[in-house]
Amino acid sequence: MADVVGIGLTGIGAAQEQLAITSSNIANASNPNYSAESVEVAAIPGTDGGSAGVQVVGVQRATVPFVNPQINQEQSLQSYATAFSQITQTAETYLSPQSGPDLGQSVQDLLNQFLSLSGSPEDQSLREGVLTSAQELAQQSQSIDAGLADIAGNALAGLPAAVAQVNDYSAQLAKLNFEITQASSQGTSGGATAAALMDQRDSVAQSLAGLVGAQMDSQGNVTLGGVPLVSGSQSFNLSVVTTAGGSSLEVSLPFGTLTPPNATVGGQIGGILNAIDTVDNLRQQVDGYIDAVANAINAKQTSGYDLNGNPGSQLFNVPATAGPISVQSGFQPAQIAAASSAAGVPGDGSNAAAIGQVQSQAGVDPAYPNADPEQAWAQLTADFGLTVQTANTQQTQSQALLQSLEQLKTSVTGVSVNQELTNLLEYQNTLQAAGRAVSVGLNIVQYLIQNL
Amino acid sequence: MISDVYFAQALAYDLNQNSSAIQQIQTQVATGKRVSKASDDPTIWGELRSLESANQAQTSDSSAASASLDRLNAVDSAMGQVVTDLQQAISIATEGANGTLSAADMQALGVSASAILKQVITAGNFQYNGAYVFAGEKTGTPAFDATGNYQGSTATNSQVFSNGLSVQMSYEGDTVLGDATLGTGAMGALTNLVSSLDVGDQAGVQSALTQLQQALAQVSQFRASLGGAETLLQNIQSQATATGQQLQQNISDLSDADLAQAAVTLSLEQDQQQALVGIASSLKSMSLVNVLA
Repeated sequence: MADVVGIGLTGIGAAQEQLAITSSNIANASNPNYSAESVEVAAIPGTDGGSAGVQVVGVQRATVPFVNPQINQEQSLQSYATAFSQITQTAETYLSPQSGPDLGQSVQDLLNQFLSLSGSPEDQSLREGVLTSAQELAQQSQSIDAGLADIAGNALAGLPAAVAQVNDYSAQLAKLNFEITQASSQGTSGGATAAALMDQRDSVAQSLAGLVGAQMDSQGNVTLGGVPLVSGSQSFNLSVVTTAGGSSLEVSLPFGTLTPPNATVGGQIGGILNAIDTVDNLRQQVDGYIDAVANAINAKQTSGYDLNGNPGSQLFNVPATAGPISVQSGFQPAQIAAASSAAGVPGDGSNAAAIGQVQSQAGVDPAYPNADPEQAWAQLTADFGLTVQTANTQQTQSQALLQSLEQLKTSVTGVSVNQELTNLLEYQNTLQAAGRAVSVGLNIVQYLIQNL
Repeated sequence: MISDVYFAQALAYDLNQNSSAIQQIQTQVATGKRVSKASDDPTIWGELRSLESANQAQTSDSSAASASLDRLNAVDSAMGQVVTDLQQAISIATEGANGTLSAADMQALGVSASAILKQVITAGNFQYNGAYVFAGEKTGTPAFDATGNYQGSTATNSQVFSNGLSVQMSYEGDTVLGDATLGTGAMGALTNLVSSLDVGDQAGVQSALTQLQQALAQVSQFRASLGGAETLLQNIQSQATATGQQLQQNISDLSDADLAQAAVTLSLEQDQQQALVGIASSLKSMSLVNVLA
């Protein structure tokens, strides 16, 4: 009869463990980083060929091993596209301001002002109009250059904090790897702890993938572009290296430093690095464009004669290397070289007409040899717009794919409260029944003691 | 097995997508624009920019044509006064050439003719916005001196438009009104008339009369050419207006939001949002917890 009691007690123990795990599942039902757990039980072999009760073999954690790497990869793409898209969208606002003319329209406005001046070159108000347009164009050029430089600079300034977060995640993963190894070595008692730690590790690995695109294998080792960030219980420090040629990442390893190629860096940091390059490139293109237009105007200016009959001087200061333009200090309306000859002053406006006709001159910006200034600007902005649109599309697509993968994962690993409630009833019944068996066994023992 | 987190994630994603769509439509409705930057639609951005650039040029041309037209109208008005002056001078010359006047009467006519000469010189020195329009390119100095001699340049200036078309804006005054010393045109004819009347030279007056008639024809021919230029400017102006309207329409077709479509889509998205919120609220009542409680 002692067996009846003993067997019943094993049932009570197993049911208590199952109820504890079920409670834990219900408590974590809304935790997206939790994987549903279940108690694995097995019959205890009896000496008479039957079973001698039930024993808890371990705690199982619901996993979808093949989905996690995909989720991390997609998280990396999605974060990359989001960071890139946000920065480049901000940059685009400088190309297409919500109010007022854009740079291309300001160029055309200035050239149209020169055309208007051609009919009345002695008109002071028209000359002032040309100079005002030139000053507005120069200010707009400076504003765009400074704005784009700020965008790239701010993005760069945010990198150290992001890299520090990467290092924090790497350290967390190394620590979790150690703790998981420890818990796993404790056999059945460490099962639930190890499962919880693995959930934490998956969550941190996804955050790390989203931040820098690093990928974790099933053992918890993390690499970035082939360079290790976490190896077992050891993590390696990541840092930003900025040179004149741009910014890159560097991993400090025991034997020295290794640089993951920028193309392999994903996630938010990869998006920021690429966006900085893209915005810097855009800035050079815009500066190159306005410098080319200003040089074309200056060339015509210096071949004409101003209102005082003097040879024309340069209207714009154009930097030697690509940069924003400015109007020559102290430039007066009378210095606009509207005339083609000194003898034609003040009534000759043919040079003003020639300057105005720069608007239909192909190849003013050498980067667009077949385009006039307006077409060049349209092409420049359309090219950048396509880059932004592609990033936006990629962000939407990767977000949808990530959502799909996470749903796939949670369909397996997530907790169904309804299922757990059903389990709860089942385990409660099991517990009660096992208790009843113990009670019956004890009654039998008591009866035998009293009657024998 | 459908987990609770699965439901929550799916709902959150759908609601986010829905909110994003509503926000996009609201932006379109607020700005009235479907395409306001290149990334909205890079494919049509180039075409849109081309249309806007052409529209900008048309606006500028229209403005320049209007200013030019004002200038030519003023010039034409000044030349209209010259025609009146020359007609008066012809009357004087006709009277002086009929052989019935005394020397004193002819000298009196000479005084009137001299006054007309001064008026024509003043007309030849007509200024528009401070520019002597009959001085060729030398618009900063009077075209004629006090005696009717031309002192401007032979080169002239034109207003150039964006399509390369040009319309003359300053004129070589001696080709319109002649020169006193050279004895050409209105200036020469009037100078000869004054001097002939002063000395009672009837043959000289007769010769001046013929010259005056030729000068009148010369000025009338100039006014006719001015009329042609004015017509050209009016055409540029009206064409710019018409083309501008068409361009604006094309720009609107390409870039404006379809408000009717936006309203329909907005309504659909809002219905979808309500449905999603409804599902979210009904999830709680579907739970087994309510049954087992």
